[in-house]
Amino acid sequence: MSNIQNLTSPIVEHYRSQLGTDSTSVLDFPNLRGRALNLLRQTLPIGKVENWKYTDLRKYFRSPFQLVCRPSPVSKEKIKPFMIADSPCVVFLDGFFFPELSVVEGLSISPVDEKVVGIVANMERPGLTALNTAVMTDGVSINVNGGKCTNIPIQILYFTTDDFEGECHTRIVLTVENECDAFLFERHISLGRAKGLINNVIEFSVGADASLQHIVLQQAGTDLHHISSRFGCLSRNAKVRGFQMVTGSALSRAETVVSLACEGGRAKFSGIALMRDRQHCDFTTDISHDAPNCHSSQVFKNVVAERARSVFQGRVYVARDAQSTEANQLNRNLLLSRQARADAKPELIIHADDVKCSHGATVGDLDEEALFYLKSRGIPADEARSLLIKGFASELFEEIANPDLASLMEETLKKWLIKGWKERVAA
Amino acid sequence: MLSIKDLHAEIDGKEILRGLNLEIDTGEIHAIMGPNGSGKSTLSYVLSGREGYAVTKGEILYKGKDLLKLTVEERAGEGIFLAFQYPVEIPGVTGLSFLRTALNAVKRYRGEKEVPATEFLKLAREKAEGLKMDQAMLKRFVNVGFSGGEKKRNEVLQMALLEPSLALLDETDSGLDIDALKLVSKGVNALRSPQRSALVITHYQRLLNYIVPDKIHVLAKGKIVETGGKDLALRLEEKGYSVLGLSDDETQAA
Repeated sequence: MSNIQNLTSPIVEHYRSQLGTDSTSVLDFPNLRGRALNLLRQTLPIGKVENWKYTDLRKYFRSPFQLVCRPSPVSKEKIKPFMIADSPCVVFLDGFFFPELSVVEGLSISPVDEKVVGIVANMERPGLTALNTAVMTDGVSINVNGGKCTNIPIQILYFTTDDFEGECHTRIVLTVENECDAFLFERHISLGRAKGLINNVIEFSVGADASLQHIVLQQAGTDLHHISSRFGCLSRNAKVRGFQMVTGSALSRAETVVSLACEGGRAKFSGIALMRDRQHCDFTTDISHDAPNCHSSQVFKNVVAERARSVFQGRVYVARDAQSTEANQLNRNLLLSRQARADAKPELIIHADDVKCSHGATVGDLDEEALFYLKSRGIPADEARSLLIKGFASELFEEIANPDLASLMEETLKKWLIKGWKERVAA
Repeated sequence: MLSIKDLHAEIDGKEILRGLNLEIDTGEIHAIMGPNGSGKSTLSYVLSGREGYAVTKGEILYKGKDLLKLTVEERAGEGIFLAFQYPVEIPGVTGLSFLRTALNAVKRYRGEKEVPATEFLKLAREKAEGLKMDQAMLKRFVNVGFSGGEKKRNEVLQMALLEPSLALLDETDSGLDIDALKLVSKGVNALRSPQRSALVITHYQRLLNYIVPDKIHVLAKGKIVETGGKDLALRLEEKGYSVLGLSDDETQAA
């Protein structure tokens, strides 16, 4: 323990000393920040933490970056290509909310405050949620309390500006009221070179008979560390469907912690990471079945090229009273090179007796039979490989009902594949 | 069209083809029959260029070119088409996207113009209708969840679209009921032309009632041991491979 304290003290000091300097945050809740700061010692994953076994942040925290200051706004033209027309849009630059770049008419949105932060998110969990709370850059709370706009997403766009260097810690609090439907799309983009740490937390609650669709596209700069944690809580008969695609950052972790707290909850999460070079992507999930008659399903896939590395940790917890639970989990990894690596760790903890649970993990190369089949039809080797990778990934895109987003995912995948070809041809 | 001379081929160090000779002229359909393990499928794989098969001796000339120097996809571009005995399932790739990618790849190779999306759709529908394939099948993932008959029809559909010069049909009749067999044969016969040739590999004479070959060869222990006309198939059907001095073991293996 003392060993870890030795490690953490300078880190805690690093952050404490930056607090109170005015330009690093617009939010003022010193008590909450203080409490969170006190939790850093026990939550930062720099000692031996089982849950962070495969994703190592120790190196980063040996010399962490400074918190960033509010940047000057970029021009609207610069971010316009990333915006979906006729849909509300919340824009963050370097972790700061920029209302003048956003389109928030008709949206119930306000800055986060002490009353809403941390109701769902658990900052005692090992990870960077306490850090996010302690040094929170900015954050908004969005309330969905009417309308059935299930196919028009609320966009949240996170940009890092040119030559970003530092840390930003953004918080989103989303409340979907009873019997309402919400559709949220988050996208992470770097407008230039970017170095440092992005540490985002989103916490959502979905009311009774309400639903949330949550889609994430992470394309942050490939030198960044990108940690995102989403915490969710579902009321009676609430539904959540999530899809994530990761192509960005050097090291990323996308963590999902959801409680099916009342009867009849449905949670469906899927994700895909496309990695090359020395990229590292970690999908970690923790789904708690705390009430009877809830269903959860998870499908996470990774395409791992070159020396990249994928991690999947999927935890399902079924409480004693959570009878008639159904929980399925699948992790599939496509390793495209001998140096690529995948780690999968499913974890099922079941205290009820009437449950249907399944889990599975596969690791493999492209199917030789299928490759030969495609080539025998005249399709060149590279194109055949791409077609198979596309097939592996696009199964998940079927979940996305919005055609703009579905084609955005397909385009992103296509670009990733083409980039791979070009590099191989050049090499 | 195709000239095979003294072909020796092995897989995993085991010699399967041991001095095979075969000449197929343009416009001809030949059939190869023979017991299991005689090398029939190996021949089709060597011709289509599958990895893992090493040619240790002999040569294959196709349209006067050294076939063994071409990659799998180049051979397809040159007009060789293998209808698989066990067509492969490709999850996540729809039939239409697969067919269009293949057709355009072959067109590019042949220096022809690619087919625009709408025109392709019309073409694919037309060909599918001829094989009594449901439109919905084209939107499904390639061969995933298809019955044996549907898979074979899908092979013939690909062949109809790619218009090969030399079609290799590897046990295309296996797993087909009589109606499916007739449909598939009709599809193959529709492609018959003075410019095209085919090699039909089969166990049973049945298929040859519908796809009538110009010549029939019997393959045993990696060699052609007998060549004849249509009557040879009937003779084999009646009396078994033992009339050619092949052991019962080899026939039973079929």
